[in-house]
Amino acid sequence: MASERRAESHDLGYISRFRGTVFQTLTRAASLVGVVALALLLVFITIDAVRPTTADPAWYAVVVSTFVLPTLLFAAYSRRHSAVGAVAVRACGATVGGAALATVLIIWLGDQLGPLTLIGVIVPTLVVGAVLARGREALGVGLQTAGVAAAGATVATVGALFLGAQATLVYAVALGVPMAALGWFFLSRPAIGSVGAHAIIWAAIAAALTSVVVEIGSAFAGVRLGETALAVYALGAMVGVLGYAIYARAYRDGGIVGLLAPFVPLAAVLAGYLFHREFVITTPVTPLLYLALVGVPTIAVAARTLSREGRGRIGVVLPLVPVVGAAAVLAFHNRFLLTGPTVLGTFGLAIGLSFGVYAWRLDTRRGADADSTPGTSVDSSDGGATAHSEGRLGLLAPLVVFGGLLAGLLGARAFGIAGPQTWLDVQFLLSDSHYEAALAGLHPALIGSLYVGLMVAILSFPVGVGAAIYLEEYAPENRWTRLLEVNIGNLAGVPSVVYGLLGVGVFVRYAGLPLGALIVGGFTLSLLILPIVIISAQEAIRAVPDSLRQASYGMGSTRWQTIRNVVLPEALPGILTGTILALGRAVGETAPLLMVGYAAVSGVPDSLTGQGTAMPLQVFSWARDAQPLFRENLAAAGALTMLIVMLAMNGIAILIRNKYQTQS
Amino acid sequence: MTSNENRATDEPAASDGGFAAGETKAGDPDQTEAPLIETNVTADVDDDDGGASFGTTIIESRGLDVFYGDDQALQDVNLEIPENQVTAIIGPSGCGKSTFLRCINRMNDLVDVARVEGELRLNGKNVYDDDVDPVALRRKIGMVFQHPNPFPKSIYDNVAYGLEIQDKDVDTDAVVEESLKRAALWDEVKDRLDESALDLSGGQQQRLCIARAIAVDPEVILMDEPASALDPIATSQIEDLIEELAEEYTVVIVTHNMQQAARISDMTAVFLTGGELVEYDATDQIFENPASQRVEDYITGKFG
Repeated sequence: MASERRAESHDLGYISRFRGTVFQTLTRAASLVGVVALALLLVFITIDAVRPTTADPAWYAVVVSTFVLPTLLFAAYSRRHSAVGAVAVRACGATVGGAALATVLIIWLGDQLGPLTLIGVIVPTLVVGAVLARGREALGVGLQTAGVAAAGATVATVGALFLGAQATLVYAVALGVPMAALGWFFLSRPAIGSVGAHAIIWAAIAAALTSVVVEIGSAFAGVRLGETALAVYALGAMVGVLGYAIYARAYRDGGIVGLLAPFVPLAAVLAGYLFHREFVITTPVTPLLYLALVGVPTIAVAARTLSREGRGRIGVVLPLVPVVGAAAVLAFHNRFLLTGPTVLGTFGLAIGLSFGVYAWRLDTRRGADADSTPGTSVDSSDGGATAHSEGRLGLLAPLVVFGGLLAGLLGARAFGIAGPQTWLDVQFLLSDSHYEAALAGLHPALIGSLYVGLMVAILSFPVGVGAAIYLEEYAPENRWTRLLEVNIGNLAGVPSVVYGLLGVGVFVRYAGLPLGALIVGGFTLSLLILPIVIISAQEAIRAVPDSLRQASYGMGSTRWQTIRNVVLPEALPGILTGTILALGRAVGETAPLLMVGYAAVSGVPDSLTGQGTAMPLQVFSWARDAQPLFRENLAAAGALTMLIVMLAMNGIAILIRNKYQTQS
Repeated sequence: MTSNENRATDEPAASDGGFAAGETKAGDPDQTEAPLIETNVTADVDDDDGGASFGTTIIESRGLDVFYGDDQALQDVNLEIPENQVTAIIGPSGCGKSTFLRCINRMNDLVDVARVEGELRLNGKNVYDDDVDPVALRRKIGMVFQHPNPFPKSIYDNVAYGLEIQDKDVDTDAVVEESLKRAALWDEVKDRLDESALDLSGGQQQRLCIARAIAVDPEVILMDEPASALDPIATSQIEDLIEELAEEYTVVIVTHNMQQAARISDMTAVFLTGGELVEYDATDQIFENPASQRVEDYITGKFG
């Protein structure tokens, strides 16, 4: 028996791999089917939207010789010099980022965007930033505050759109100047500053919560509170300050003066309101609040960060610069409408700026490298920085790529060579709906989608992340928690039409909001992606190593301190990635928006209860149009725009993930 | 229920392979049946400490039992740890030495199934009393873990973390510098305090964790096999550091490495399988002339 087996094992011949090979082939085919189908679809859409056959062959020759060939040559060169390649990729990335920013600015701000806007916002920021950057510590602080301010400015822009130019100016000045003075005062007295900054943040949060409750309540009750609402918000803010004083026992240790700090922005807003009312007859209360809620915490957070670090104090002024600049320019915006040169200027400024920042950072990193003695450090990023300084040639990449493209396009036009008669052009992105295909555009739908996306992000992010934190960090391990988690998982699988029905039932029928209101779509889509946000945030939180929590608890942190200082910062990239992907889904949804009465053909939504519209609805309606131009070309151009938006969102998610993965 | 109990008693007995340990486990529910030797040793310990040759007692455990669900991890541990000395806890895997360490700063509270009975006194106060907040307790007791676990923040922020969460009104820059100097890390990182702590080497990270622990000036520092994940050079740096720290702090260190315990500790406690403290004495005494045969077997490598 044994000898028989041994005799067989001497045979070193062929062993069949037939089943394995078949399996491998099948899996490869499976992955190809999806990719190829999608690629084909994309190609067809692109052909319909861009119509490459309408271009003169000479046009292709020009573009290939100025753009494609040099790009390929440069790519081949950087393949052999990896340092150059790394810089080239990043430099192109910075440039593309700048171009994307410019596109968003142009489409979003549309006719409010003039050259002065750009000069008013970007140039002062740049100048102040450059001055601050002379000291490295100040640079760090400046970037930090600028980040906070950028987030604030984004929301403030929404407020400005509703508020109008003069009001923005009034509030920016009324609020900004006292807050800057306050921040300055905080810096010289850290004890008071800490209490003051905390008190302001608490007051702002309390006022925000009050406003949400009051706004929703009054909307449901059908009552317009008008100016009374202001008093209620102020009351909420005061309760917040009181809550903080009790919670932190802030009245001890001489910090009690800091408790007066929230009165400064409050008085400022009130003064601005009273002053402003003299000039403008109709003043919506809500937008006023947006501005206050954004500006105040921004500066308070900045002041708090600074008072804690005690370094680079001058950086506190930085967030004020773009706000004041934007306000000043918006005041004159009516005179400067969107023109060709403005568009070009926007692109040029944004691209040049981001590229310049990148090149400048490269330079400072190189300088920092030269300072430190080589060999003593085990820092892994040092290798990267050295590679950067070697690969400075890569900085030319954007010039080759985009300069070549621009030269080709302009050159062809100069010699009268016709390019493709594309449907997806600036006119398409900036025009309203029109019965003539050549004049029709996606602008209202694009902006509508942008607003819905913003609203969904603002609504679903805090709720979703909050639920995930509760489930992962607080909830006890019992059957109720499990039931909750299982149900959230099930909700993620509920068809979107059902959410549409829910939206109509709850927000329109029960709450009495108008059918088709922008806010109804926002609420409905927020509910739709909430389970996805919760689940992805839960996964991100679960991925935070337990050793970090242990370390924090071992230092004597409370659970809240551990979550705030250790768990959330570590989980944030994952949470953001998941949320952005979910947002992508929300922006592409059609069915629930149809259910809640969104329109395909409409103007840009003018208020939260105004008629909502979104890209997929517009594409849907074009695709059903009787005229072939609408059906084939416009629908394709709209679909392509949507795909580009989705890809950009997914790309941002991937970038965030990669950036933080390489760090840890 | 029955199947659970069976598992609880079967498993350790099977893995021990020794009838003595099996017996101990069988006597689990009833403490009076514990083997004679252990009781004698505990009595010895008490006598030794009565001599007060090792300074004042700062931590004292009295009849400490710890259970994880149905499994008992520590059995009736009686131990007095002297102030400003290095006390080593050695023993084979799964003998409960880390569990004991985590009882001192109540880190076991974070484990849902853990249950602690008996007393553990810090400066005479039982830390398991109802009026003791575990968070406040942990602020007095620093901890260094087996694997270096710096926060993914800058070096500076890591050391300043304790100051920040405790809202200590001190000159943060000065405390950070002082702590890093005491942790023998200052010279290596002083030029890059704002770089990520994760860029440091393993040994540097562990010294950073020590700096983080001492920045808030705790009374006791607990170390859970702090050098087991490090190379020999980093290990010897950590050992030197521990000896220096003992001038100002009480250090309790769990280690797998008996040579390490012999080199750096003043007192040594030997835990053996089943969560019993078998012998506790001056380190010289334990390594040269242990009272218990089982401890001698363990130290000479015949067991464990």
